[in-house]
Amino acid sequence: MCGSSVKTIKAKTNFRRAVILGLIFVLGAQVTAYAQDVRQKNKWIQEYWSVSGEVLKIDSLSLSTRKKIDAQLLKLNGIQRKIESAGGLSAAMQARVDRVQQHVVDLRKRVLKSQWIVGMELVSWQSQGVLVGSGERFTLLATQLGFSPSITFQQKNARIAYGATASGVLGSAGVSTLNGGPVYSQSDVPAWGGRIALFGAWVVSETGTEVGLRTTVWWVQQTFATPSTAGYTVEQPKALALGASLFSRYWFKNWGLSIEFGKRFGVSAPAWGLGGVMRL
Amino acid sequence: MKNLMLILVLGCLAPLKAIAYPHFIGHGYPSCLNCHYNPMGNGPLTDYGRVVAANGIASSWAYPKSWSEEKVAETAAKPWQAIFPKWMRAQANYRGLYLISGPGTATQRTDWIHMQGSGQLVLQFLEDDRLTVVGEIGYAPPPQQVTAGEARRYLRSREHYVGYRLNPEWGVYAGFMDQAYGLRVVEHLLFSRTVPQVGQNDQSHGVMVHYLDDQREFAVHALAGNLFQDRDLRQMGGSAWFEHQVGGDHRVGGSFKHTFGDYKKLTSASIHTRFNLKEGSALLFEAGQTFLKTDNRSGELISRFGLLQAYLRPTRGFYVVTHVEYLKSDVSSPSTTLRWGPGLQFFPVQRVQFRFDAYNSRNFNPEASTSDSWVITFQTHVWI
Repeated sequence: MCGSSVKTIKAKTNFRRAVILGLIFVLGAQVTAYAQDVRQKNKWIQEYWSVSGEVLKIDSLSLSTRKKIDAQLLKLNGIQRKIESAGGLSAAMQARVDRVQQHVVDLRKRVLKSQWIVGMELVSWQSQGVLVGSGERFTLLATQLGFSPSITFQQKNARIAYGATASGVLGSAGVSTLNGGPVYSQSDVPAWGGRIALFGAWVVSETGTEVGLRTTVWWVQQTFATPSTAGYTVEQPKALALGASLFSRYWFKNWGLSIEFGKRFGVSAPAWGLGGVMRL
Repeated sequence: MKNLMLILVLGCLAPLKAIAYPHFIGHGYPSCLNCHYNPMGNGPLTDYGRVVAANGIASSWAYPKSWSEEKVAETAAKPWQAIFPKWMRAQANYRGLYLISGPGTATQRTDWIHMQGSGQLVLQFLEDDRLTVVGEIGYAPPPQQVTAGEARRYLRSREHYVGYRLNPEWGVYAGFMDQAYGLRVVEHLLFSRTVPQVGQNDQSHGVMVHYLDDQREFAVHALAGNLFQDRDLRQMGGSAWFEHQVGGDHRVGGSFKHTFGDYKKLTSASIHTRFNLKEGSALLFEAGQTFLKTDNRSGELISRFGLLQAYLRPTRGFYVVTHVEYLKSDVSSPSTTLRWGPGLQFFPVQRVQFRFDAYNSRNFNPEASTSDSWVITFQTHVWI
């Protein structure tokens, strides 16, 4: 009787020990697993920091860096998901993720894209000839109004645009003397020629609106008639002229409005243009 | 002749005056009522309008970098809220213009013109300030030519009215106000203001009904004429103006006006658009035709006008302006005028504006050419 109760007590004690040991084992396993998780998470964070550091070092997108950045972004996304599933992102980690995303957005904004643009502008400029006779010189003024079809090639990103434009010019003008002298008047005198321009512009809004400066070489042919009055001759306006202008383009998707205001050097009056453009 | 030219130029340019800035559609503010007590713009700013001017319009370079936008906003409206009771607001404006006409020519003239020095008082009552009483009195440059026997008036009111908003959509305004017509651009010299006769001094007594919702806005204005004028000079009639939101951000609209008096009858109609190019940039367009019948002319004078105005905002507080104007003062004449020019608008800090504009006028006639004319203006505007 006494022996059996001792056995029972021993069995109970052994059971308790086993339970405690079991609990210690489970707890130990949990602690070990948690420690492993923390180590793993720290490893991922370190890895994210390292890979994102490489991304942040890239300061421009070329063909090779674009491939590299795409691969690294894929990798970073995978690591980020793992970190999130392992307990979420800390504030510092979130700041790093935001910084990387912003850096990539900025890099992409800097990528220059080639664009072809065609346009048709209403243009106006003035040209001057000289009426010579009786030992005097009288300025002949022609105020032109015409059309200018154009084609433009430009490189553009979210901040800047630069390129070149070639355009034809077709216009006409009434011609008369500016500073007295004999009566000289000609109606609808045709003018034709072309322009080549180089430009640089600032992109000022997310819709792609551009404002910039343009340098233009004008070549325009126009012939003023020689007056019937004996002794008078006409010096024709110069065909070649250099000009500069302020221009802006306002885009509505692939269609836009173009405005230009500038000067042909050698003539005091401004030259300007207003028209529509289309991105090809 | 020189003096006559100067008078003509000054007569055109002197009426520069702040009304609203329709190009602020580029900031996402399509309606004047967002910032002004007057639903058609002009006049004193609301507290909200003052904050918009400080936070969205004016440059922030003058403030310490440590200042948040909230702190800047506090400097915009709070001082007034501290000084005046909730039902009262006040504003003072000064606007001066340095004018160079015919720059670089033998006839060049320069003048400094005090265009405006005015005080405005607003009383607002009822829930949500639904009832407003607005008054303005101030200095105005007298006309260069005064009719014999007529006294030069230096003080005048360009605005005094009572407004009541029945609800957020409908409002009724009665008193002396600008006529509801066209794009209410700041430059009263533009053909789109002078031809339909909605310039700086073309206010009228009358009653205006105004409607505004998310998609549309319109105003119908019954005009009794300017009751400060002699009876025979008053132009009575009515005007209507509307805008409709399109493409989410832009507005298209139109205006109609018919006025009549003892000596003349004027009918004008125009269409206009305002495009929001985002980040503060905007494109404005207006085209219209006016029919004018006067006692001293046998037929009707038909004039056409057009305006294209672009505002580009490279950085906060700074706008690059381009204006292109068209005028056919008599459709039966072969002559056409185009006025073209660049400008700069700068709000260095809240309550201060500087502006530079160049206006090149060119006449087109298939049979002859004339020299262009130039006017350059520098404008200062301070309001508190």
